[in-house]
Amino acid sequence: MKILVAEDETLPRHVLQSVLKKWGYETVSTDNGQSALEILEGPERPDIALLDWSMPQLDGLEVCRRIRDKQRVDPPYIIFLTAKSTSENLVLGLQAGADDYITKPFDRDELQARLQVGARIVELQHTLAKRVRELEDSLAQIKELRRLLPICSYCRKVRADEDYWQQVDEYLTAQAALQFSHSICPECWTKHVIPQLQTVP
Amino acid sequence: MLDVESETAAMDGGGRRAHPALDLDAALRRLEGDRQLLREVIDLFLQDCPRLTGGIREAINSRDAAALKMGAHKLKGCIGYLGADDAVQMAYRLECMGETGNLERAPQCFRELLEVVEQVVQALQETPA
Repeated sequence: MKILVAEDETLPRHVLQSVLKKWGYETVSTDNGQSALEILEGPERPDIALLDWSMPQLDGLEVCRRIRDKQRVDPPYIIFLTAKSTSENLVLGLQAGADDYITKPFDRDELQARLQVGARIVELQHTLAKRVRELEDSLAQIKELRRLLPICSYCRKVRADEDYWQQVDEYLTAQAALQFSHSICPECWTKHVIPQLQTVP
Repeated sequence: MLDVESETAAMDGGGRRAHPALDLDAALRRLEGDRQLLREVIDLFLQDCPRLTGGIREAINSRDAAALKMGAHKLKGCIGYLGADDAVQMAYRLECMGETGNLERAPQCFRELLEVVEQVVQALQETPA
């Protein structure tokens, strides 16, 4: 799991990165809010963000607000890591969309436990997002099948689009991923196969 | 290079810290017991300390409350990693003065903070390599 460390001071940034690596996390770091935002919106975006409150260009609060405004299906889990410690700041941070808040210098057990909570939430979000995508795909297929379908009265081919007619089994395989196993029903066996067998010398 | 091992060993054995302004044992626990990392943190602090205290001094001299708040906040965020709790408390007082804009007692508070920070720096520098 990848964690962003956004902190403008070298010392806390170095400490955090080193400790997170020891705990087995992949890390990416930056010293300003604008770059933090770009990393969180980038192609290889981290799952968890540790954001310092006071940073140049954009502060942690603003980075948090902008990320939450995007309303992504799989947003990052955001923890404010800051030396600010009043309850007023705690409320501000959470209202801006932070998931959690921890004061500097961090207590190692507390940080580790809160990161584990974050990792659990992120994994749950990933599972739910995957399930939503699967359901959306299924729904699209169901919509595709719920329409008036022209079928030839003689050969039973269906018209898939304006000019293209295909067998029902081919159509359903293409539209709904149905798998067909070809067989012969008892009625057709009596009607078609037995007379054919009787013609064999 | 600082001899972190003997520093922390002295604290463990004596049951009392060698330097009252500093708790390297707590710092080491926070760093997963990684003495090499603690050395790096100490070196970073010694390197950054003049800039951090200089920022606070300038803010007080120019009576810039916002800069005082920011400067004290930054020092607090760094020195806390060395287990320097007294300095953290003093920096927090200055940060609050910056927050409220009442800088009347800021120069005195800064002098007291500097004394503690100097003890911290001296303790780190005097530790044999």
